Amino acid sequence: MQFNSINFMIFLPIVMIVYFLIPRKLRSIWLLIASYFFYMSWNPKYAMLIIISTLATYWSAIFIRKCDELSLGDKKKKIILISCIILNLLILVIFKYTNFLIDILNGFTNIFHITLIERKVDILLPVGISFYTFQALGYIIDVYKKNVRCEKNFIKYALFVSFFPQLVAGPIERSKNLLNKIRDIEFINIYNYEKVKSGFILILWGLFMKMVIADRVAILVDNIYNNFNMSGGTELIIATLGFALQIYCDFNSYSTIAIGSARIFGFDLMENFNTPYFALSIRDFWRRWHISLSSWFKDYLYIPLGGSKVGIIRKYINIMIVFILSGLWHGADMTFVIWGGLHGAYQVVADALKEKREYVINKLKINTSCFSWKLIRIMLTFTLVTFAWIFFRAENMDEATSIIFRIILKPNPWILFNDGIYGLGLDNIEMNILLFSIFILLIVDIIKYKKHENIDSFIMRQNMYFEWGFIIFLILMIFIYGEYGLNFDPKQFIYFQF
Amino acid sequence: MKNIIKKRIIKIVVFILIIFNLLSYVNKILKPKYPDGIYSLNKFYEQKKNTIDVLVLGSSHAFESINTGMLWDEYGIASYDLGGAMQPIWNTYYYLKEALKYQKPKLIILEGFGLSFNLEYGDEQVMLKNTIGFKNSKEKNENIKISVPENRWEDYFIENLLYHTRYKELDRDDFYFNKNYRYYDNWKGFGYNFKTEKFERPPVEIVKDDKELNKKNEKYYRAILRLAKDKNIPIIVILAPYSYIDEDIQGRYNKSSTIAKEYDVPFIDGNKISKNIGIDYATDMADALHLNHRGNEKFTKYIGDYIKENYNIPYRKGDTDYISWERNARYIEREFNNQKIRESEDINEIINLTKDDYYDLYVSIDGNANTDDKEIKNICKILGIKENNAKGIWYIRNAKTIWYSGKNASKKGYFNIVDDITLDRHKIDRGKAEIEDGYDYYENDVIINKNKENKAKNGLNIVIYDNITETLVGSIALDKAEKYDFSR
Repeated sequence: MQFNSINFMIFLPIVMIVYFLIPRKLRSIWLLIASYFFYMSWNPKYAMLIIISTLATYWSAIFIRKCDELSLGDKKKKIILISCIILNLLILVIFKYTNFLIDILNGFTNIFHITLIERKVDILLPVGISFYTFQALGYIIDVYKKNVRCEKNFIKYALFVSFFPQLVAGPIERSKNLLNKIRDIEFINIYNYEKVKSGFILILWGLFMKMVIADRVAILVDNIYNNFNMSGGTELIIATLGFALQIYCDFNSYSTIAIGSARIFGFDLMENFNTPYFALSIRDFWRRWHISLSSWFKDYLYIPLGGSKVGIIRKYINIMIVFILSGLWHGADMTFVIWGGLHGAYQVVADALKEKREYVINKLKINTSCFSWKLIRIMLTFTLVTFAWIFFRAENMDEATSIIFRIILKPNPWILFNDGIYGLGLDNIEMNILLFSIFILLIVDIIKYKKHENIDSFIMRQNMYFEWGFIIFLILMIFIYGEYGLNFDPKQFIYFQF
Repeated sequence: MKNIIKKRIIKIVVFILIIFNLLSYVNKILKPKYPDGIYSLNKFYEQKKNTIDVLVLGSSHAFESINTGMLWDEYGIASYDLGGAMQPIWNTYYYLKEALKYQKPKLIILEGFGLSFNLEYGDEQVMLKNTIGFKNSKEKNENIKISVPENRWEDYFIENLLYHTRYKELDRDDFYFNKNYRYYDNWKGFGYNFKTEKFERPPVEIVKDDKELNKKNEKYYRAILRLAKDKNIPIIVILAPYSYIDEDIQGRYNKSSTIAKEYDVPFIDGNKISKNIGIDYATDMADALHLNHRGNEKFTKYIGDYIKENYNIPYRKGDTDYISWERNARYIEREFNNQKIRESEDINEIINLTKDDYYDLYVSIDGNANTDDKEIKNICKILGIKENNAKGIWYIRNAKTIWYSGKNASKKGYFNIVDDITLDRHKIDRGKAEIEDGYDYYENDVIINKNKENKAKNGLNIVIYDNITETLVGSIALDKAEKYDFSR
């Protein structure tokens, strides 16, 4: 069930009420049942794959621990670890990347005018598979490295892998954080009024971002991108900016609702977004966007490859590997590979040009400690990120390149001066609602940027009339202006194919 | 500790109450209030219990052809037109069931247009208008289940899904909930149609055979007849005359008549007896499906006479419990009078029709026209204008001048009832040469709700506003260049 659905609005309170009433010992099993119910509401068959991943990593961890206890040597441990990783990645590759691999294979053989495989394979793509696979792999690697205790309680471990708030689109949790908390689930004080309240405020804020902003701007983005060959360059730029907003609000809303829901049950998940569009550089951007994934890649891939400690060339290669794989993680298409590669290239180039840049800054006597310098860096970073989004949104490479050509060769800036922007899919009223909501989002993000404080704690610090006013405001905005009901489907969360 | 918990519980409860009330209020604003099915039922709930003696059910054919005002005036009958747009028979069944929870009519009139349909479900508009007007009840749930395909049930049970995007279309009616406004206060469901289109009488006699009804239709048709019988309420089935009929449809009507006979229920096919009713399809039709104001007067008279002859319906005139029917009848009469004014081509007749204390006439004499011009001298006299050789704006009621600005005076008057009326005589810059032509230095504006209604730049304008119906009836412009020929 989607977070922005009536089903979830019934599901969550029921799970919560039972959770608060049952004896402590039953908490983990109840959440596990709820999580599987939540997952299977998409498709009961999905349960099979997540159980396989759960069992594989659970047993591998126990075997690895046995190896340590019985001092059976490193070789055995390594074999178990590698086999487990390969098994899980294989499942991921088969169910997610089969058709992509077929495309690549055909791409090669087509050079010789041979199409080796005629038909695409019709295969189930379970929602959230990229997320929980990485979460489980993180665990087994942590156990191998002795960073975390192996979990003998199967219920608790299975809950760690499938915990419903973050199961389908993150944040990707580390065993050090979430698993340890689940271990102590009987001892958490869940009857914490402030925590539960803050959880609900976060959920509301997430629903606002998703239903009022993301799903609304998506109408414009879809309208232009789906008809890209009839759209002028300026329209495509506007639509791409719209997509930058859409994917941010969509994905951030999901994480926010996840964090809010988890908090109701007494769990603090890791922050996944930290005002990413205020980043000063691409490197900074990846410390603020999908933090759980980029830190996962850093800890489990970049650093094992040597990170930045292996000389410049190797470092650049490591960066490219990590980001190309990160792109691939997001989607099974060449466009995602290019998207990831672009971000890697951005950072490599920025690093390589560092000295030259500093030279120019000095020569021109540019003041680097003022607001205007920060502003230009933010705008430049945002431009680079937005350009890369073209590849993320386009259906395939041809489309992406066509769009870029049209942006350069067919600009139509006059639509900014006549009322052309109201003809892109959102009329005057809808645009006004969107712009007003963006304004609210900007304020909230500026508060976060300046005070390093999330909206829930900021609101709860205020006087009651303001706190209640803000919550009522969010509820009314969602109730009146949320994209739901007749004329549109509740938009599929973008990250659900992962 | 206990205190804090108490405080928190109170906070939570108060908060939930605030949210619930706020959302209900917002929902009330967003909910469509279409009179054809939704508001007709809302208003029905407001009627005093057990006051309706004749209940008319059905589609737009029902509520556009039975004139509640005439039934009251000529027969003292307290009736209500409880209809919905294109209402399928199954919805009519539930409207009846719901109605009987609140009223004990002495006679049910079922208008049978819905019997001719051949669909499993109505389209989106039809489903919406004929279901969401219900108060929450078992009947509402059953009604939805039978009117709406299963994959749409969620939308209709959680109504907000259907209409919350109406924020783009909100209007005065949405915020005022139709109170103290126009005809709604004393409304009895009658929706008059003033258009006129020429049609021909459909030759319905040539269809001799019965044609099977749609199964769903027949099931609920019989259910309606049985329900009336069970409750011991006499019922008659009528068909209002209209012209858009083919053989299949008339066949179904014939079958409906046959079925009615099984239950000893009278069946009046308006088209078959159109001559007796006196219907002239060239003047009495608003469109291919509906009678207009002339048609429904004739048809209502026929039905009224029929009721008088065959049923004992109490005469309610003079009963203070029924005062809203009296007001409703007066309102309808007024609307019909306004229509007469609109259709008249004779200015003297028009002025006569508006000679009472509730018609406001805003008369302006503009440009180079003058009260002494021979073509309009008499009109000015009848209107009650006393000034000679004058231009200006007169606000006249029942031949008495209430407000006047003319000659060399700049004056502005604001008259606000439901609509905002501004009478503004102000100086404008005209070239010297034109003074000799007798042109006015001044411009007269009769502005109603931001629209300038006095259209003739040189001539006599009469803008008619009715205070009873709170509507602009029309504006007449007699242009001097056209020799004050009548035009609208």
